[in-house]
Amino acid sequence: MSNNELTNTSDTPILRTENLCHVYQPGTPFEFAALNNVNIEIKKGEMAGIIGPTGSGKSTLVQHFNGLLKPTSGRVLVENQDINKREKKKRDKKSKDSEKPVCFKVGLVFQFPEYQLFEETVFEDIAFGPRNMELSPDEVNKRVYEAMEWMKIDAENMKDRSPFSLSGGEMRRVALAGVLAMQPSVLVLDEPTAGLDPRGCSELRDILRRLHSELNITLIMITHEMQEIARMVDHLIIMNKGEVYADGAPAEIFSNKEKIEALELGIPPAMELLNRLQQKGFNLKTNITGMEEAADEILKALK
Amino acid sequence: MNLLKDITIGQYVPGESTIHRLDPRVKIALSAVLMVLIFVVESYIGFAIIFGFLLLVTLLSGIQFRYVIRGLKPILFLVLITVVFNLFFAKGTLVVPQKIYGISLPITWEGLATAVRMAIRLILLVFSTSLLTLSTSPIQLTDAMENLLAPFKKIGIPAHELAMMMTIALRFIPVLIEETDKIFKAQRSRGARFGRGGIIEKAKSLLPILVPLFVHAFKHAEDLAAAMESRCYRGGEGRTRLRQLKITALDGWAFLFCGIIFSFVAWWNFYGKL
Repeated sequence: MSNNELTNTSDTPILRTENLCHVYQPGTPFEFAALNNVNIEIKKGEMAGIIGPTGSGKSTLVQHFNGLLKPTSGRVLVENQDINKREKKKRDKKSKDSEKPVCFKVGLVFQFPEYQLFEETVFEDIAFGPRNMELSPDEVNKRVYEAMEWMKIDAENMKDRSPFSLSGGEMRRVALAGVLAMQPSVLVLDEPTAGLDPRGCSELRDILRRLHSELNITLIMITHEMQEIARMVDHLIIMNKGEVYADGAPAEIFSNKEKIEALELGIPPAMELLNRLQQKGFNLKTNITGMEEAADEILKALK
Repeated sequence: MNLLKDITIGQYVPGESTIHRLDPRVKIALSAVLMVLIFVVESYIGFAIIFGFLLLVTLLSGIQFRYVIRGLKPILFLVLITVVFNLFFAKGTLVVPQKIYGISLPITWEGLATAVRMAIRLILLVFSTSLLTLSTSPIQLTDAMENLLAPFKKIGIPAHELAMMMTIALRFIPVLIEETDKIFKAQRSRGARFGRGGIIEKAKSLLPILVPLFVHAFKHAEDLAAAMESRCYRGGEGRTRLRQLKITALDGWAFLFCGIIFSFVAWWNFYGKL
């Protein structure tokens, strides 16, 4: 679709899909085409959001990013390399580490990641990923403590506790730390704030923002929360029925009101307010997604 | 690696065909008779007739033939073992009487015949039972089980509780499969590798899947118990049901048709051999 809108930025693409298709359970009565000709491009250092109604193929799409799912047709390129092709080549050589590069470059955090915790202590659980990378014990140690610090986990008190004794929000952060400790260059999160209380949500969002700005991690988030995602991300992809429905900067996408409303996803409240004010005859811009900026715009219009 | 999605046993294919519309009790009863028949029959003609019958049922049910066949895959190993055992452990005339390099091949004609029969029987058995589960929803199946077991309540068989347990177990198979799939993927994203190394290593590599899966299963069980209790569930006593099972004319015809075929096969087997 309209991914050429983005090509004018000088950043290099870190992740790209080419005519990506995926069919679930082919050859059975339950055959289902989950992805149809998806072409997207994520730039290095970008914070991207993927939204769409249930069953639109969002989760299927991100599972292709680290090679968990193989495309039925089409290609997935991470740093300009076809992740599935390279794997195959290595397997032919009977290399043991056929999956190593891909799933360590792109860290995928599933919805409700706290359900993947299994170790006896918080430390051990976070160390699971780095250990699978066959790093030295010192390096594993270092990464685990770093990840705990980033995720605001109190290492002194928590590292020897059982992950099952923690609160929901803490478990979520431990699970995220487990992926972060692998130091991926792209971090994909499926509904990172789902099921958290409002405070947990905003805390987690702050952490993610810091990861993005300070560690320069490329972030890709799947979410339902329209108002928050519109404010956070600088690239938005809307999926519908396995296809890319819209792709571009949030302000641009939301300015096409009819197209967004057709999906019943809702538009950010600040934008909704500006739209209504404009209808009432105020002279103001409506392509603003943040509350503060919207307030400034209204003040300007009132002067 | 979508191993779990290939499991077809107990997977219902919704439909409106003649076979789907039959009363589940009739289907279970007829399947039971057929199972006995499969083990009684000795002649290949009998097997051929049963196979033809099952093909006809598949055709009537509107379920793709190759989909039914997929359900046979998991038991191929079992068939192989049975064949090998029957092949080597039967007494009789040797197929190859000469000794080769001083070793005689302990395969007898009798063993060969039993092995082939057992293989056919197993395949027909799974074929017929998968047809039953493919064309009958789990809910219908357990309803029918409860109904069929009801007379045994007097001798202390808890028909309702058994049926409820089965319903719950069946209900959670897809849920647990899906969760296993999810946990599997999540751990793989953390670089976990499965099925590598020695047997102890392999077993260890399953821990990251089994622990979360058990945590989930217990949580589901607790939630379900709470939900049932909050709706005042007290067991089968005095419970009425939403879906009543009714015998229709269609079931009568099915009984008649199967009765004729089954008795013909049985008659052929015992008296028809020339």
